[in-house]
Amino acid sequence: MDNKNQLIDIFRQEANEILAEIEDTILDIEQNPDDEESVNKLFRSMHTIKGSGAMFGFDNIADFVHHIETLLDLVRNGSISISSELIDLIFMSKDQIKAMLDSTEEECNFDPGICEIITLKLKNFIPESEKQEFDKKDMDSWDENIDNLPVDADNQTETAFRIRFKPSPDIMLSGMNPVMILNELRDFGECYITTHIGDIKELKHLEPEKCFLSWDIILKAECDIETIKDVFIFVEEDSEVGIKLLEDTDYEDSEKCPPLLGEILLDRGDTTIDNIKKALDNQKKLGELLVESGDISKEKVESALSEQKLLNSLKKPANQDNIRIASDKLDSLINLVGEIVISQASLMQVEENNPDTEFSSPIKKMERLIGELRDISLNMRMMPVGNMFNRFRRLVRDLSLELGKEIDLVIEGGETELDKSIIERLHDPLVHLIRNSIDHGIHSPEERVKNGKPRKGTIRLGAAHHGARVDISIDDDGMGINKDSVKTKALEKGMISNSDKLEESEIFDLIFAPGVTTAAEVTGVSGRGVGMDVVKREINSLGGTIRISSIPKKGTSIHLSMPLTLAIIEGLLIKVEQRTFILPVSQVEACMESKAIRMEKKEDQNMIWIKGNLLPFVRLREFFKIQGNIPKVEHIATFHTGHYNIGVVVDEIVGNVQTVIKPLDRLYSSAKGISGATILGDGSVALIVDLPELIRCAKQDMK
Amino acid sequence: MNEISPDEIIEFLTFKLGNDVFALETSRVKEVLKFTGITQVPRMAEYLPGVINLRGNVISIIDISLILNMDGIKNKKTSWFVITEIDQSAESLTIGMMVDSVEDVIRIEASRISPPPEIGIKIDPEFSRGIGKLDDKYFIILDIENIVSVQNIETVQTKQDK
Repeated sequence: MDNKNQLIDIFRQEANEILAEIEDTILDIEQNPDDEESVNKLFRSMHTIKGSGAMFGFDNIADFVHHIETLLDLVRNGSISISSELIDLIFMSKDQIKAMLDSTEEECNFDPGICEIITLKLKNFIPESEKQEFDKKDMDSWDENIDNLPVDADNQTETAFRIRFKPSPDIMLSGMNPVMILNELRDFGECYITTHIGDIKELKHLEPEKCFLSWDIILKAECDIETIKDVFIFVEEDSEVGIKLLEDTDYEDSEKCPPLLGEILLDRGDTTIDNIKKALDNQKKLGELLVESGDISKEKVESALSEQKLLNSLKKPANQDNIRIASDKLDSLINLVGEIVISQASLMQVEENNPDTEFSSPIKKMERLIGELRDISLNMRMMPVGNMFNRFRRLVRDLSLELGKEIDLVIEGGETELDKSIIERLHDPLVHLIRNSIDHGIHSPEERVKNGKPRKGTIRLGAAHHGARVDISIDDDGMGINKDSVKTKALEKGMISNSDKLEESEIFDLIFAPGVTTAAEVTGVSGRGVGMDVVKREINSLGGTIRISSIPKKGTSIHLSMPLTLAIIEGLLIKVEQRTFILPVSQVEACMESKAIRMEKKEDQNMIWIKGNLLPFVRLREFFKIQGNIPKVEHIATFHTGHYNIGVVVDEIVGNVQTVIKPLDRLYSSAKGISGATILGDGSVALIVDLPELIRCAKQDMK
Repeated sequence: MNEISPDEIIEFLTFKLGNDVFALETSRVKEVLKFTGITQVPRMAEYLPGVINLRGNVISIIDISLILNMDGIKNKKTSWFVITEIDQSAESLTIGMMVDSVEDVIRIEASRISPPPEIGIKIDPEFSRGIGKLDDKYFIILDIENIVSVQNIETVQTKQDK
């Protein structure tokens, strides 16, 4: 039972991937309706879902997809042309399949009624002449529409095919039964099947759930090569499938001699001339066969083939380019690597305290190796952001349709890589920001034309590396944000007072406060002023910063700056009264002693002169309310975050460390200005300072 | 505790907060540690003295005596941490309770545990799952889930803020 569930899980996983692909393909078709390849791709994807759905007991999905497939087939052969209604319907169908897929026996997430509605609508697209075909619900005929593809039935003569089918050992795990495929081939016509058993291991090494068999099939049938390829459609990815059209088999009428067995073997690439010569010398049997030209004798070829298979298998390199592993396995690997990095740090400390021991050199070597191990394992979790960005195409399409707007989504830098866990957690904030751009940023086509803009708005979603961070930007060419209305809202909420002189960036920052909205009216999409504060909190909790800039009538830009990875950060170890903290080093600009610089208390604000500029600073000791006396010499680290430059004053800057971030649990997660904790080489816990939060709180404290 | 038959033997770890003896089922206790280096988290309420490193995991320490409205641990350096796992609907939380001293492991029959009285015990009965009696001594069985539940933490927080 567990095994079955496991299979169903695999099916779900794969089907979900295919559905994501389907969505992309539909979007492609919408933009370019004449693209036959995309239509074919869509058809193939649907066909795969139908076939594997039926195989794993998702009969409802298979039945439903069958209708879509029929329709798509008619699109392929030109009976139906692509229209926006059709695209909408396919989108609806895709969403319905997704809902059906997510349903379990215990929990039903979809409305079967919608299936019927969609099926009815699909039927309406079908011209009268084709209706009959559509009503065939019989699942046994699921290959029918493939069989009937552009095969010119009248001129069809019998052709011979040589098919070599070597399923991947794991074929049974995916629920495929190779025998079914062989039976299907048998139905086509005269069929000779040879089973190779040479790969089967000794009984004690035999893994019963794996398939070590492979087959050579000689098929004489009235069909074309595509039809045969379709038989293997579900297995072709993992298995070795070779289909070769043999020359005209009608030897009786022709004067041509059929090839000799040796020639066949040569042609198949199973042997070389040398091998045949050798075989001819050693083996009378093969020699006899080579003398007897004509029909292929099963058993004897079999022995020759098995022998050669063995020889060949020795030469064949294993061709495994990619493997699929569960992401939680990867996560535990990363966690372990993190632990190793920490242990290494404590080993280094031991080494520093006892220099020139015999351990020094192995410890140094370990450090280098562990560094590599860390880089490689972190790299495994890096994924291009493009996959996530592409998912927003549907969002933009649907929402702009709903709101009567015309919007292009331009994706740039999709290949930029970011840690998988960051990508996952960025999804929701980005959805929110993009919805905002569509709803508030870009106005209706009519209004845009009135303002001298093109009808169609553009949203640019871009990603790029920026040092140890990744910048993500969302730009729209809309009307921009009205600063005055933001100010008014903030005044109403009492967040600012009339006397406050705010810089532009500070005004835009108000948007992130709860309850502030720039929308004139509340819509179903946005405008309630809920959300931007959540977005900011989520971005900050990922160690990122968010910033808005906007030019009236030109557009709005939102910039996110994210760390590359969450698991391990470079930190600056600092001390205040013997208490250690970590500052994220990716944002540090400079460190210096503060006796060399003048510090002054100006109007109750902490400001410091650095290189001719007045820089605000936070004294960590004061902010964290740590008791004690300020030492004579302090240190200051300066940071650039978002549009603030800020200094953090501490007792001592110890140096750089690599740390693994450990979250604080519920009890301590409300700690102000702390984003997490980490374990140092000596086993003590150090807290990681959350800079953006520190700045925010410091501002509040001052008020 | 209602489903347990009266003859069943339950094992408790007893410990002291001030002069009072409290108990927790041993099945709930992961381990007991002597006070080790604790990292204070700035600006936190008094009942949250800091976090410790327990074999690579950062564990929150909590001074439950303050939540129980008692005096708080006087001498932290000689205190003990009772590490326990709390299952709450959405999360599983491992915390360390700071206690003055760890007393004993006691096995008693379920029939010798009575429900917490409304009056007469030092703490709010809501934080107790019962009173156990052994010989002439008694101990209060803590309802740790309830003690660290969100609402109660918030109540203490606001009390301390005032």
